[in-house]
Amino acid sequence: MSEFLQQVINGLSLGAIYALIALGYTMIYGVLRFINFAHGDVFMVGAYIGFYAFPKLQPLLGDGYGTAVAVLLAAMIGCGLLGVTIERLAYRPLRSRPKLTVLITAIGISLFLEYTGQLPVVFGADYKTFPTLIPETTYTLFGGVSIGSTQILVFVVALALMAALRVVVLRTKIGTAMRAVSMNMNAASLMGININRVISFTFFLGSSLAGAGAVLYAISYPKINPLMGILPGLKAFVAAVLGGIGNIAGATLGGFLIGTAETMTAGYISPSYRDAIVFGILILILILKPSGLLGKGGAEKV
Amino acid sequence: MSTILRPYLYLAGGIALVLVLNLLVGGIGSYDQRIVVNIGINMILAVSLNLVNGFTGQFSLGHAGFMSVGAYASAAFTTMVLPAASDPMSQGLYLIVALLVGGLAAAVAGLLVGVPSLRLKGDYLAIVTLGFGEIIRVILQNVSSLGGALGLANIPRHTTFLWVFIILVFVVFVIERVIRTTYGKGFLAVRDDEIAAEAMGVNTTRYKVVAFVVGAFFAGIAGGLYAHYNSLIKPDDFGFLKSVEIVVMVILGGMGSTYGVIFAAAALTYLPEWLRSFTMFGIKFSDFRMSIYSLVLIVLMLVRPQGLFGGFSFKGRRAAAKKAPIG
Amino acid sequence: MNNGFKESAPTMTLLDIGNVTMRFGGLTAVSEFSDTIAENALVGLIGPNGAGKTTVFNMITGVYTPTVGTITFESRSIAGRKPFQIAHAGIARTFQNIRLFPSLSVSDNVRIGFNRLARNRFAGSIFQLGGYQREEENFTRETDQLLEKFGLLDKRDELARNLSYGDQRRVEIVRAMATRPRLLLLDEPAAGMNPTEKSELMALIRYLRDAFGIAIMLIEHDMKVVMGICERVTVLDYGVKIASGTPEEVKNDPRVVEAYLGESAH
Repeated sequence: MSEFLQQVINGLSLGAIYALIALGYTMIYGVLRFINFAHGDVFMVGAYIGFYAFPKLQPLLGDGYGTAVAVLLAAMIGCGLLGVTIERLAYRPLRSRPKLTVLITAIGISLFLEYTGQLPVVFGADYKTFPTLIPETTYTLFGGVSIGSTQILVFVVALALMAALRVVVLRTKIGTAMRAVSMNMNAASLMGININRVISFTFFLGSSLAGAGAVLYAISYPKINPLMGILPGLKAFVAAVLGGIGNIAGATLGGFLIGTAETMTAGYISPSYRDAIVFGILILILILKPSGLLGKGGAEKV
Repeated sequence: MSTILRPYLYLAGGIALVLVLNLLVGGIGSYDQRIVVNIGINMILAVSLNLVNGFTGQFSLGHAGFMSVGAYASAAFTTMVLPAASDPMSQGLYLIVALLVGGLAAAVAGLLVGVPSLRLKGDYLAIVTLGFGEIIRVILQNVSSLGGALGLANIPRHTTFLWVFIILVFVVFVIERVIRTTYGKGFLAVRDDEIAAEAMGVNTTRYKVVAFVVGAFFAGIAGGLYAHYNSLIKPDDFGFLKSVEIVVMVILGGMGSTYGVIFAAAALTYLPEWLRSFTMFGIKFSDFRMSIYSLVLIVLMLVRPQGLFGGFSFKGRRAAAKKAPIG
Repeated sequence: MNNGFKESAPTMTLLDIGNVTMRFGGLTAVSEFSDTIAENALVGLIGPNGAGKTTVFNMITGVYTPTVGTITFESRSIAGRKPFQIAHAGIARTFQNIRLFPSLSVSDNVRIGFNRLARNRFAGSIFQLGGYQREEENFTRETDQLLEKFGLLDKRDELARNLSYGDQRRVEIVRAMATRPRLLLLDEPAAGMNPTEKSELMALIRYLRDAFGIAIMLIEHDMKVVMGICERVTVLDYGVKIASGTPEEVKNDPRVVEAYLGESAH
């Protein structure tokens, strides 16, 4: 039983990170109706921003949580700007084009970030060790179940960001505009909403969440390299689909479910099937309920 | 000349051309020969994916998965079932048998993947096929009798330039021939407008499954050729990136133009090799080649999404996708 | 399956729609709709925008399965069958927003209609043995004959997307005829046509019915066309059948007038 609870805690902490990445997928899908394949690689860049920002920030802010928060913010802002740039240069010119063209472009961006990241003059192909942002302490809860300070930080930051996102989307003017655009872009535009600004803002928001996810991922699994975004990106995408793509609560739920499913598979079946289980879930959900757990069903209009 | 004979003359001409080229290839270095054989294998992959993505208008992003099924099935058959072959005659015979085994295994995989997922459209289908491809890879990594992550080694090198290109000629012959018949036009109808095709009595689901299975069959054969050329195959040879590479060939070739796709396969296989040795202003391009490759892809999508030889533009399908409600 | 152009008593019921209802989520697009079409009949389905006319077509042709109700064609139930099966059974249609195969030539668009008759499937198309050549030649000849009847033979090699609007509409009708239907459904065939084209279209529709012995049901907003050629007209409003009868009867029905002109007509 205690082993099971331990797996749940580990799964939820991994899932919180997937949820942050999944939120970006789902928000961008919500407004533009396309899968931003490069999202996982924006996430990767976030880890490197954190990696390079840390030695600059640490002398200024010391060893405490101040540096950790500053590194997190640096990665969020950096990724946000990267996301906005990608949208501006590559996706915006294609907005009226068929979705498959945009999908291929997104794959192109993804490959570009991965390969360019591997260049020696950029990040280099080798693994780098992400710095320790906060001292690692393990707290024993009960019956041998323990939780680390890193995991606590992951939960706190992820939940705080999700709450903040909820406020932005539901309570602010730009959040209302986002929801309007996701329901009907043409109508929103006729109502005087600046579509381009809303889309840029969505990319900024979604990409900055990926940046936050990257720092949390990197302090949990401190080996980073330019290909590190591929699998978490795909899994977060599965999380978004599982919850119902375009649905913000769904992405959060999906993230936690995928994280838990993955650690359970690794713990109880075999670590080598932890990736396969995620794709298995994807295929099952797409075949059984393509609209996802929280997505609206609704017959497809022919 | 009789219209019955003409296609066979093309077939004979194609084979004759391959035989002549075979003599020339004998004279080039082994490194260049390797590139040429890889080009041929990629051509088979691209032409077969073109049946699915180009002619039938579906979006499969898992072609490398079917290739791997064919590679492993044929390699396992050669190493575990067939006896060793010493003379070229029996080597060729064994290769053909092994390729058929690989092709059939891949076709079965295509059926298993295709039937449940073809209800999905567009990027959802792309994602599901990608997922299937990844699952196949993970399974192969965990089957110890097939070598696991280290791969299957010591596969006899039966594949030659001659076999690769003769098979390519046959694959092109089959697809180009079928697509011109009344039956074959059904694939194009599914691509152009699925709802209208159904209304005209075309069983669109059936067509999509057939395209998937035939595409997978040829991909499996290409995988078999790959396995018997490299002697060592690893699950990672058939990752997501390989699928993307083949899709890019099909798009660059113009989605539905067999000869465009063949040319694109050659160009895209050769480009990274060429960049490997290319130097300008003292900068060695070998380091940047994959960055350039991806940039070319992005720019192409921005500037010329219909491919370099696009006969069919995406327009038709976008219009069909957009005017969703029939009233 | 024989869907040929067989001869039978003209009064026999070809299509019988029994109390069909179509709901999308909370929206009822068509409610308890019943109608029959006799063999060789020429009937109209009219109503204001959004009345559910195309939904009726979509139910007949299998695009939608009615939530409730039966549809019987030549005494066989077809509700819930797939569109291609219903096409095989002998119902063809055109679309409100023309749906040709844009990248195929005119003759290939028509040839698709013969697709279901092609005995050579994938393998047969590779080897092309036996009767293959004869079969393809038959399809080519029949395609040409159809195109000639409709004055489109000189356009046979043009791509469908390059045709003029009027020609696209005509090709869509020819394509539907290639499936050898017993019942043809035309969804707003006169939309976007000028008066000359409209009168040509009316002649064409009459010719189709007489020369091929088929029944035709058409959705149309142009009352001149509907009143000019239809023997019987059914009126839908908000998914409910409000009238049915000869054009004269329908024209003078107060409920129809109200549906078209709104409350202000009182």
